[in-house]
Amino acid sequence: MIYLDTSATTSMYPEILYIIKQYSVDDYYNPSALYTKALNVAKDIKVAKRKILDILHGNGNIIFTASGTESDNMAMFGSKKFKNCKVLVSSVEHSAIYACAKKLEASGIQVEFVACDAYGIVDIDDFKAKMSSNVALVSIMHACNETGGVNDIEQLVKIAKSVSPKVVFHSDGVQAVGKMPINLSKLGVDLYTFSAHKFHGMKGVGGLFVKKGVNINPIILGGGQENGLRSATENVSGIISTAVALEKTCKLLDIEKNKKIIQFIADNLATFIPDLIVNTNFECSLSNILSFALKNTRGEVLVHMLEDKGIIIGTGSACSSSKAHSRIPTALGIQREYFDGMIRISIDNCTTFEQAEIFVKEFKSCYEYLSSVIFNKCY
Amino acid sequence: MEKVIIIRFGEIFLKGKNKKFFENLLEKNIKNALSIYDCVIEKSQNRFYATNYDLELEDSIICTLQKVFGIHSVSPAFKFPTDITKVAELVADELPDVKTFRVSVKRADKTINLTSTEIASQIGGDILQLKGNLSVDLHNPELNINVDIRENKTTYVFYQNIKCYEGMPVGSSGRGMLLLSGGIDSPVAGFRMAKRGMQISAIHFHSYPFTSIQAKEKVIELGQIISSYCGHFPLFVVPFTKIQQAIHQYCREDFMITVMRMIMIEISEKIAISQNCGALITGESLGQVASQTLESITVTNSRVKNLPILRPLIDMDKTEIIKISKEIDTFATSILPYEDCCTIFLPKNPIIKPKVSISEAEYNKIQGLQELIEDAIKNVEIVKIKNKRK
Repeated sequence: MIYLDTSATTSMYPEILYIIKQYSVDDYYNPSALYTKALNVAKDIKVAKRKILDILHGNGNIIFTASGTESDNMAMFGSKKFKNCKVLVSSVEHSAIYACAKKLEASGIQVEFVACDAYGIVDIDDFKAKMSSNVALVSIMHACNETGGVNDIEQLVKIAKSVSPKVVFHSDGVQAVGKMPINLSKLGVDLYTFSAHKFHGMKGVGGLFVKKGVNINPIILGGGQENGLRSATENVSGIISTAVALEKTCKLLDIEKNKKIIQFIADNLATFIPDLIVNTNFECSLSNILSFALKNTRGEVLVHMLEDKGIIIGTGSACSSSKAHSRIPTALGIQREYFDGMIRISIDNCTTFEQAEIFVKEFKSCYEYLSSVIFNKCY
Repeated sequence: MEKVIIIRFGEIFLKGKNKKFFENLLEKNIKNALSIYDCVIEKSQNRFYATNYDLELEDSIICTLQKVFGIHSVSPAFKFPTDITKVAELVADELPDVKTFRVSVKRADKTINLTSTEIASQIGGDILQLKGNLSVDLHNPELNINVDIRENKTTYVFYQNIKCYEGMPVGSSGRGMLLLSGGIDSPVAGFRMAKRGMQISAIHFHSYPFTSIQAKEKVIELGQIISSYCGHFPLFVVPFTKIQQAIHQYCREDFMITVMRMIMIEISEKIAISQNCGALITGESLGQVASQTLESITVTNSRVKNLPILRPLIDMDKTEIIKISKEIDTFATSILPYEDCCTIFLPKNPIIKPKVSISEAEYNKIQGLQELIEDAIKNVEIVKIKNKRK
């Protein structure tokens, strides 16, 4: 099988199975307990946290959660708001942010959506125009899950802080972590989300980086774990394996190879798809994502056809005729006849050139067959 | 004192010489429905009784019985040998926490020398003596204590009369082939015909890869939900992709849906006859969409030669259908976003009033259609649908 949907999820590193066994069967102790064995587990969690902070160059704390979505919710609802404040988010944010923004809006908080270009990158001028001294929270994704477009978070943070010094700046880094070098200190973000299963860790483990000095409120209450910010017995094996997975993924990351494979696929697709629209800007994008759209074609049909040939690709959240799913293509300024034809190829260090060649060959055959069905009219 | 559930007949109570047949069928259906529970079904004097069951499961058994067509109502009841002087004593400790009550008596046992009213007042008086905090309210009591004195020297006491769907026992009205699309209407249509005693088989047209595997799974799930009413049944999944492509290739765009439905109903009739079905069932509602206008229905009918097409929703508004769909628990599944027809094959402006002659002409344009139909029938996948829910 050729798996080209790594933005959806990745395969877990097999060695994590041993970590699961160690902390579930052997050293299964509750890290909050007082005996030595439990303290040792708590220490292991601390070491894992430190390792992740080091890899991401973060000066602060990491609160472990059960998903990227939960981390995003925590950032959106847990960060401090004040009377007559405003919240800014980009128009192509993942639903985990977008739905929270809509909820905040419904509760009476002013929410504004910052425009993006065709590659999912925030329009700096629009951001400047919407940024004002009463903005309490900004949430702009680091890399767009649909297009791979990477925002200049460092610049956006500087602009935001210069206009509203007390603003809390959150960035959803779920797609970025493990796919590009991250330096949280340089970015200057206050809050930053990641999710382990996007870089070969376990599903059900997310994290929210909280910069030193930034205060947020918990959204889950209980026994007071994670310094009272996220109650629940820690997912010990999940946390420890996240550090292992992140370290390994960052070591194996080969941006140049990814770029060549993605460029190869894009160049080849253009040779046989006349109306191809490429939504990925190779100058400022993750090296592992290629998003494109086909005219009057259903991406979902191609997904099924390729699946039958042992190739897995993604459509992104955009491919659906329902109105609820037209938010992203609309924000990207895509024409309606391309809405259903959005396709996302995403690779990782396991992807080879040979696989890319097979994909191109099979995609061509499926695309030509589908075109023949669509355009073969005898009357 | 024993706890039982009284199961009362619906319409079959009125049947004449065939009553035995309907009763036996209802008994079989009740036993099938309750086969997941450890309980006994007894029959006595135009009623069934569920007995010897785990009291913890009583509510669950009642829910299951409510889905068996042919039952008028059920009542959880206390059963004991008839002795009207002991009724109050027996039920006093089991009375729910209320302030007012009344006693209603039905006396089938004519060997007792008191009238129903006299018995009621005697039992009421006994209860008042035992439960001084209660008072009688004949018009708006919080609790109606029903005392049913049967001829076989057995008395039943119950407080609730839980209405069921009534209808006819499934299997008493032949078998129908339901065209199950995955939308809101067709599962409701299947439910309505099962309520009239019809056994259900179902057929679904699947156009993979133009529709997703989830679309088929959704239909299977809908089947499982309606099977809790009509029992297990076969679902015939017809591979429809090649036919769909041929329609797209050869027919006028505005007639694509019309011709598609002509072919679907034709295939359905063929499979229905091979499965000894006596009717086709669709979820059509007059004028709901372009393919359900009187003219479109006329065209669809023109392709069916031998079987009646039953359309139990024909006069219903969408809101009425949705209401039933929610009640029978199919709505949430029906609205899952997996389409049963790819947008490629959906015309922008489908014909609203197709003529039979033009529709036939468009149908006849498709080259090799009969071979495609035969091929589709030959490659039908049969999925056994069983109720997975208690």
